[in-house]
Amino acid sequence: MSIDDILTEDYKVNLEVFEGPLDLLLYLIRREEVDIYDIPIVHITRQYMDYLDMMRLLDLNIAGEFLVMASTLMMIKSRMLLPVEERSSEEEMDQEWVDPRLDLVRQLIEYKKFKDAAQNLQMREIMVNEAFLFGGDAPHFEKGEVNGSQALGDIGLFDLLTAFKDVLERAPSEPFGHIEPIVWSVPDKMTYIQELTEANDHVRFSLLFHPESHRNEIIVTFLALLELLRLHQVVLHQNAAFHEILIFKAEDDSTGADPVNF
Amino acid sequence: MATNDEPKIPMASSLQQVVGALIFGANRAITIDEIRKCLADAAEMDTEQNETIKLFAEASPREIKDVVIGISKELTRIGIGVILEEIAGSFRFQTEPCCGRWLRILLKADRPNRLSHPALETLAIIAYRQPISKSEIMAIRGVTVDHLIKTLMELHLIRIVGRSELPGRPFLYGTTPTFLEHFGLRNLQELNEIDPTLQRSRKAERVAVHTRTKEKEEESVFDNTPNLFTPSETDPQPPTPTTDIEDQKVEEEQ
Repeated sequence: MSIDDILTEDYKVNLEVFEGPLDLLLYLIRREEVDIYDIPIVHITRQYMDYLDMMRLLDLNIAGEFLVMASTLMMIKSRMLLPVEERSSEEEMDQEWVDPRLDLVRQLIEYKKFKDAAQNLQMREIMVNEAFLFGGDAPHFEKGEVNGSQALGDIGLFDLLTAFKDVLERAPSEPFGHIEPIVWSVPDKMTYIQELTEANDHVRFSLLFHPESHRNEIIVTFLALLELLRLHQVVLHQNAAFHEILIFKAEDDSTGADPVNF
Repeated sequence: MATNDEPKIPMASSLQQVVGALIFGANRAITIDEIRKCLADAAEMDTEQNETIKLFAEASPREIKDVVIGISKELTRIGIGVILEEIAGSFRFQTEPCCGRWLRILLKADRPNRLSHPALETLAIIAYRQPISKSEIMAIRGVTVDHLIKTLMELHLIRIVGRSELPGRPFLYGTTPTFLEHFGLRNLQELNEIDPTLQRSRKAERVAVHTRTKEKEEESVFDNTPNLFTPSETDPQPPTPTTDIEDQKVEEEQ
């Protein structure tokens, strides 16, 4: 089933994805609380493929590198699952059995160092933003100068996908009690979400979806949310890592809002 | 004959006074050298050969810097929300970050935009590994950086610092003085203090890393670890930096 089957019109959500496969892997490692030095390859590969499937389901612009990594993970997995006898024959020939995860882990560890460095830089950026020079001139970027891709703020793409995944997994595949097929439109769902954020201080992500929502309805609703984010109509907050995501109406002047960044 | 009606402007009593006044009055960040030059010019232009003016003109850059640091420490100590900071090799007064929220109200200023995580990560890689080519950045991040590089260039946070000698002659990227300002850094060496595990490699080591072939290299903190994104035959090999960028000086214009 593709996106086109369930949308009333040709509505492609133009959300560029700047995260790469290493970002996803590090996210999964953190979320699943696994040891980066001893990655459970089978488990992580399955999770990785789930997220990849979701991104394709949503027709996100994912880089080819995601697919390359998918096959790499498969390859590592199959080598990890080699029968023990084959490994010892390698040892007999005086070859040390090299952990097939080694290259990947080294790459992940190095990248993680830079991610940590980026966090430190962000802290500094925040502090600099709080300082003012004489007369209030400040060497900050003008609003809108930092143009770009995702309107996700501090919430990572994968956090959002996780929330989406949770809702999707709970959904029934067949409409409950309905006979005629129903099609949903992204613009209608966008209006729906906007009305909710107007009426309330914030909306919890999980409450965007009814328990009996059809799978397709969930997908369209999520696409509508992505579109609203891209258009800076809403902003997201997450109080703690991996907690419920909250949706707020975007203020016009974005005071106190999270970075529009990208 | 003129009487002594002319009001006499008092003479500055300490170098610290003059230095503080200069930094404030400049209304922009100024360097030790600018201060030194100003002090020297004052003595040259002084027709009356005032002793104090001459004395100040003889202050060495080290002495001037000590005075600046003294002012900075004193300001921090008395805690009036104004501090003296060194950013990108220049000195300026600014407010303390803890008071930002009030200033924002008074000045009716918006909270400025911040950089996204992918942009910050790309910047971090460039900052710690410069000079560096796109393909090297990609090898670390695991995904293309074309659009991010373009954005970071437009924001004047990075710039092209040279070209590799190797096939394809890819551009090499490095950070700018604006980068230092944006993150409140004195200089690039400060990056090492922030993340000691990611010591900025010296140029010699960078060249050594770049000219190694695909054979297994020995472990080193500075290595680009071998990875699964090995370039194809047609991709440019790791470049040899052609320009001399030992430690980035801050003389370049922005």
